Amino acid sequence: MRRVLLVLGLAGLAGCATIIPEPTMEMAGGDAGAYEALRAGRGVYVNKCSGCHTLIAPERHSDGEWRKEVEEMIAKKKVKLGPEDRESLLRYLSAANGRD
Amino acid sequence: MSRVQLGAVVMVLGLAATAVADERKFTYSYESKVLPQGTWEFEQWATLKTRVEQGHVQVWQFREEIEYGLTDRLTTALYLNWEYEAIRGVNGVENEHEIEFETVSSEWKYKVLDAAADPVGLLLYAEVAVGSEEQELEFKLILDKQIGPIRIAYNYIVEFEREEEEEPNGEKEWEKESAVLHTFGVSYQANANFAVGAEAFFHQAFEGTFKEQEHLAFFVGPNIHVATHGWWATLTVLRQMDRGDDSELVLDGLTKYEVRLIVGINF
Repeated sequence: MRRVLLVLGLAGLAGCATIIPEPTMEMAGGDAGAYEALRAGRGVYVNKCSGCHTLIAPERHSDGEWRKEVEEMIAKKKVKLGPEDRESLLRYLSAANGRD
Repeated sequence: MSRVQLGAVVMVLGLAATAVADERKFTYSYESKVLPQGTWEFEQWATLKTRVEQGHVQVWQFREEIEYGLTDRLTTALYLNWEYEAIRGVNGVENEHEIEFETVSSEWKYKVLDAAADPVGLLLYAEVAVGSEEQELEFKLILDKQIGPIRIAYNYIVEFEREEEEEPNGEKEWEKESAVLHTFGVSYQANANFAVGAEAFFHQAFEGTFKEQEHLAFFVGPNIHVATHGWWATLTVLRQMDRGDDSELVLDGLTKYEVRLIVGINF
């Protein structure tokens, strides 16, 4: 019984899609450099932010809301993000949310 | 309430009043989480194990843990384990109460996949604990998934233990034990600061290195998680359950109830 539950659970988990979209060339406007920058931004989001809280889908916030969230995280929680990582993160969130 | 119990409550409340933030939804299951590079976290654990068939047994286990993010995927931790035990009215066992330092542990966690960004979260865990009368090696395979507001976690745990026991002739000998644990957790995030869920685990203990099964026990119960700016706390109350195959509760070495509180602080 336990094995059946385990197999079902793992199958269910593996079937779940990610809520943090991978960058696409379309998202980057067909620019290879911008595509790489978006990939780097997603890496910052996944690696830096998930240590302290569950990641939320980029579409949950507008560009302005994300900027405010990131600034707040840096100010209040002292997340160590250099200017390059910060901009890369915001660029990814802005491209992935599909909003202005 | 004894002085030790009172001290524990005061210590935990004191931490809660001054803390900063991070989150862990379960107290018996780990999630595929590590600290960001260069950040520190302090965790205070308190576990109460109580109720046996006859007599009165109360075991308080405490852990002070300091964690550090070596990279964005690799976190290490050092912690101290100590225990307060009170036994009264148990047949064949002398009434006693004592507080004892148990072990120092070194923990290593490597995050392979993220629970929200990848189809499934995966974390590898290893821990070594060393004390004057006890040594332990523990490995965990941690799987989890975030689906909207719901977090699901499963841990496969293997433990190897060596403990110094006093024989009837007064001589001391090292005895080996091993165990396999399966832990499960599900948690629903009701709002940004509060989550509620349930946890369960199977504990299968063996004599020696997986030689002969000593017992198989099953625990299940609810949990709650709170987090605000600067700190988080998670509380789980578990009850040992009859597994439904005419087996009895395992009350030799285990208890009927386990309650665990973890408070975490980032700095």
